[in-house]
Amino acid sequence: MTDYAAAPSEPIVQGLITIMTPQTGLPFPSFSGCGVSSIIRTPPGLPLFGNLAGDYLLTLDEGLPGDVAIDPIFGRSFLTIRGSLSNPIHLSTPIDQKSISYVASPSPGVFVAGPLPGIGSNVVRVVLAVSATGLATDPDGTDGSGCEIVIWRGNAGPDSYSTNLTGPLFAPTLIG
Amino acid sequence: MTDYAAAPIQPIVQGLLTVAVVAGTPTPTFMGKGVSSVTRTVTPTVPPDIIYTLILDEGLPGNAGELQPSQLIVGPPAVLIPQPDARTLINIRGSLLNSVIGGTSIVATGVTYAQPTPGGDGGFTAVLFVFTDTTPAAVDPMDPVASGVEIIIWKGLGGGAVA
Repeated sequence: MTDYAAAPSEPIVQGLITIMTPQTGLPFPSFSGCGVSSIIRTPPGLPLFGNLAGDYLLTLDEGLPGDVAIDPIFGRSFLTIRGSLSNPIHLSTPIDQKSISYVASPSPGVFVAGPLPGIGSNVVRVVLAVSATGLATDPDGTDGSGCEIVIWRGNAGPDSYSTNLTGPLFAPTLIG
Repeated sequence: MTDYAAAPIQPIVQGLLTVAVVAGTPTPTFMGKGVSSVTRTVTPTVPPDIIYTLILDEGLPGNAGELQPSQLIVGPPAVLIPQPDARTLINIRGSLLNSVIGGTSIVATGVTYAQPTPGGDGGFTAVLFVFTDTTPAAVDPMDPVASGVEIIIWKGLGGGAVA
């Protein structure tokens, strides 16, 4: 079979984020999958200004090959919201904003915005929100049934190559 | 090349879902692999639901035509993680007839895994999609809203729960 895999992707995280409400009545996030060693809601205040609901910090598993603290420029990801049966539009979700950013944790419970020199980002921040309300929102209840997440390390091509192109592209070549 | 592929995922479905009006009715078509049929269901509810159902192909290797329905995580608290292995990537194709030329009016997509006909070994064999706009209302991914939907479904393998 012809090998079209010119831009290989190497997943380091794949899993499902769900919200659980134990006997205390306080909801907390849970991650089921590979590549994450802990998940918490992003706390309010400096330095990350967390929203609590709909805002999570996923610590990458230290045991993964390549010491998967990732260089943010190599991060590739997608987020998919699972539909809610209790939403007025059955199996839909109002969550229309999904974002990911790469932060770091130099020590347990301490977080900084952005990667650490020589380490990279060992924590991934996920924020889910509803634009109609302007609020970060858990994918739970009428808002969803969880959030699927996959993160790759895109490592094809030269690491430091960059260029700025000024259009138009494919301009006719001037001859003579 | 360093192998960073620490969390393997295996695609079981890839394809393009399009919708065309046939005899006055929006009719879906799936072009790709891993799906044996696609249906569009409109329910007479208020607001109405428009649900696209993809039936997974039973003939795929590894019995890939179904998804594990649930996984019991021993607590405390003991919880049931629904369809822990499923990962779905969706990208909406833009429409040249959209108010934003080449754009789409779909702002959110809900994905649900289901067992349309109980039986077999209990695996989930259907993937349901609901597309909504800013109204919010369920819409079809066809002109002028969109020009189809690219879909990839993986099985995520291994791992467990952390909190």
